[in-house]
Amino acid sequence: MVRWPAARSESPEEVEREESGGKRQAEEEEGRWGRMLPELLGEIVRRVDAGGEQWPQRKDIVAYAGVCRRWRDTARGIVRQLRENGDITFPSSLKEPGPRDSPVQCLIRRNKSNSTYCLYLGLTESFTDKGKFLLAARQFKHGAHTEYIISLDADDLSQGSNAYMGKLRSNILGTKFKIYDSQPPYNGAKVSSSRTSRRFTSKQISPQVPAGNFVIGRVSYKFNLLKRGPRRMHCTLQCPSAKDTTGEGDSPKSKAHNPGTTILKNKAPRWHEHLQCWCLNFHGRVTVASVKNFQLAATEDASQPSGIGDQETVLLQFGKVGDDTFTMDFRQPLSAFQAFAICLTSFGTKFACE
Amino acid sequence: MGKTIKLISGDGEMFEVEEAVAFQSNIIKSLADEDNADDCIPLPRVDSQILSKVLEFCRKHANSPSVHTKFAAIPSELCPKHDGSAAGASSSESSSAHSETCRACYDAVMKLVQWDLEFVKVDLDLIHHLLKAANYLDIEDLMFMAVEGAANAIRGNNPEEIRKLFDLENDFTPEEEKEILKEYSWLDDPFEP
Repeated sequence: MVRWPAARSESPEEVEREESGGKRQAEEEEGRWGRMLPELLGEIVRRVDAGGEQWPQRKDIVAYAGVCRRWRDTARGIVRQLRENGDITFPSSLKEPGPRDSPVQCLIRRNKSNSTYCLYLGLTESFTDKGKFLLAARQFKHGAHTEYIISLDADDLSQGSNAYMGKLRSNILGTKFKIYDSQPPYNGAKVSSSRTSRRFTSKQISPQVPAGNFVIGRVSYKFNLLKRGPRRMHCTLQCPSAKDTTGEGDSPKSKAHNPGTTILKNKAPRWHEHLQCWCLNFHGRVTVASVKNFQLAATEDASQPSGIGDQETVLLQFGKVGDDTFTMDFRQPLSAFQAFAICLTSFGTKFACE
Repeated sequence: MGKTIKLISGDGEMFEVEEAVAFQSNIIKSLADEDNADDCIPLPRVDSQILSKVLEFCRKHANSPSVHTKFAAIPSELCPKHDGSAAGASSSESSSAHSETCRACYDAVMKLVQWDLEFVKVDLDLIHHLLKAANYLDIEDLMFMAVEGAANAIRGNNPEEIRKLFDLENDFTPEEEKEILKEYSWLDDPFEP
């Protein structure tokens, strides 16, 4: 008895075409890659991703996602997996939590002449290598308040721009800051409209044109005015909670989660009697003493199932390595955007004594 | 020839090949394992031109040590089978004997990988057919290489170039296009601040 090899999830049209003697006609040949099975497209994009784990090769995934709807949908599946690694691939990755196990190492470069700060993903160990550009911020004075506009485009730092990501606003004294996100706090469900999930997905990859400003965090500073010592930082952030990072499905329903609260405090430096200075162990990532330098650990951590932070693990570290060069290392539950905004507050405090 | 298997392509051509060659396909293997030793196995979804290319690949792989071609873009420096480390090497003598085997194994694998890379340096049309055939017939190494062939055509190109190569239409809405343009301009570095 003759047996036919088992069908392997092909569409009825494809089966019919192949079984009609396998003749290739002109119409069949057109758009064949467009009709490629999703699993096979998935294999291809996974291979492109595997070959391009670092920038600049990572461009290839972004190029892949710009080809056509079907390919973009496939890339979205990979992006969801990538999110769990904290990889930065698309602009939207900047608002996703960083990795769980080890921090992402970034650099911030300041340009005093135009009050601009640029965030780069570090690609090597060196503090002078360029890195991959991530975000730019510029300081603006609004009456007595100071604002920092954060954008994907270093040449376009306006709130109305397509590249606008959010902003930081300080109080008059420079002791309290609010972080605004151009998107509502981590609610993929709200971003969607009544359109089908397929169209919804292409919006998932890039942030939308802003509909407003949403407060997603607050940072405050308390200073030791009597004795010169390190200042105390307190941050409250809306971050995705633990169950959000378990990519359980693509349905909008699985994304209708509530953001959790994360509370961060700076780790207290130790007084080094011998060196007569305050010391924090930055593990080589900070090389110039500065009152701006800090390490933040969580008392409440939205990414932990219990919601409790261990108060030990450094979730955000910031410090000076050159006149206008700073390192920024962050991990979950913080996103690159949130980490950058918090670091900007360090520049914004008026009582910085250096 | 040892034991052979008869295969019939979608357009009716018969291919008789050694078991070791045909059994690169897990599907053919599982079908042939059943009682009907004299029957031909029909493969309606693969025509003769593609089947002959597939069998060329299988022939090459049947006579070579098993290759774990699970590398990202370039094979790693270490032998895939032995990890570069001698399993259970206790004395220097056994480890040197092992490293000889290891070296030989490594060289054979590298040669095969080179052959594979050449094999998929073909037009995307053929890659497409090989990919479908490898998927249909469940031939792991061929699947791997066909995917690599497609991925290689994507690397280093921008979306428009990729569309041309793969004959795909740009079916994005103007709004989606704006998003994509934003993503793409984010790839370029701004001037130093």
